[in-house]
Amino acid sequence: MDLIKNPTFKFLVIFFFGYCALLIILSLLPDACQKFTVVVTESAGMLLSCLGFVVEVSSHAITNSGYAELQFNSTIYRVNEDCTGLSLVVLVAAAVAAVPARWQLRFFGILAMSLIAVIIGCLRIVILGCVAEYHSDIFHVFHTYIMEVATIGCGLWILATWFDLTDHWQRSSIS
Amino acid sequence: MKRKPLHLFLVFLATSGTAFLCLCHFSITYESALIQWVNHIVGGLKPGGALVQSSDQQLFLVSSLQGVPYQFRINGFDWIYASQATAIGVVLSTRTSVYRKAHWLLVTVVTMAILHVSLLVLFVAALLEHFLGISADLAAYGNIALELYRVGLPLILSSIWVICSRETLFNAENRGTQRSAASKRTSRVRNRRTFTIFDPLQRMRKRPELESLKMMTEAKKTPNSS
Repeated sequence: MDLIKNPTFKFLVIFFFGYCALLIILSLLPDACQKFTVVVTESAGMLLSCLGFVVEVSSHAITNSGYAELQFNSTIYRVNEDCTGLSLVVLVAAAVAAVPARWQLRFFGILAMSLIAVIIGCLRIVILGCVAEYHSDIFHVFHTYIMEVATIGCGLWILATWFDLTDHWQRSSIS
Repeated sequence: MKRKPLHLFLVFLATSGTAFLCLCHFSITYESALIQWVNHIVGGLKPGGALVQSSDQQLFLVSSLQGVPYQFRINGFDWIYASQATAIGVVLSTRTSVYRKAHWLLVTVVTMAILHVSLLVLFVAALLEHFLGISADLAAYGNIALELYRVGLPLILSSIWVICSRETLFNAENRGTQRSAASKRTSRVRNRRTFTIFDPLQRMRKRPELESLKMMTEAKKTPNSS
């Protein structure tokens, strides 16, 4: 009985089931995942264009091959679901939904923090694109390690920020 | 104890980076320790292969089929070091005491080593099944295990971070949601104490046995005083 009232236990249960539910929903909606990949790739292409790169995004091949293409001057960068940070969005949404707060606040948090996670996914592609263009010799280290770790670190940062924000808002609403 | 999120992020990057460099630097020692376990399990399962490590830290799978030896060079398995370094970074960037960090670091490192051994076993089985057509039963679990590892690891790491930091994360929450009930309870207790201390006669009137005790005490005192 005490275990059910324990906020940590409640968080973990909601987090686990929310994460699994989102993964199941996404596995049932492959078109949505592909659209997400296209949107993130095109956004990253726009960012790269703003930075002065000549970039061509071709997303028509995604239905057959499962990836969109970013074409630089000398590099073709294939973006699939794992590159877009969709798993980070799912993780962040499930975690934010599990943080104890009012439902309106949770809904707002899911939207806001997922948007931040999408932006992080875009920045990830931009950084990897720049590395592939200028330092292709260290691309493997960046792709395999640095950006993976940075993505998880950003997830933790988002979660810690959301915990602090909900705590702050609840304190201010009580006082 | 309660650090800012940006500080946590920087601690995470620093610790996981250090852990990754250590893993890469000592990979020959670390992998040779794990390979012994992998070969022990693979030998017990009889798929007919063994992992060996060359002096330049290259991993090979050695097997033989009908007396013909085969050797496969294994590359592209270094991503697992990234996930292990991430796990170490997650534990060390929690908002908790050093003792609990050390405890959970031990748990996490042992768990990641067990997962590493399991993945290597399944990887060997998948290679043997793919190239030599043996150990197909075990190889069937390889893709499932890899997918579970990929999907489940962020969930496990986030859960570990929350469990380790639970006092900092949820205590304020408890204070927030239960403050009104707690303040009502406190005010009730305060009122009761006020009643007890400052109005004893009223309490006595409500408890007749105390009134009679008082009368008996006064009756005893009366002869002595006279």
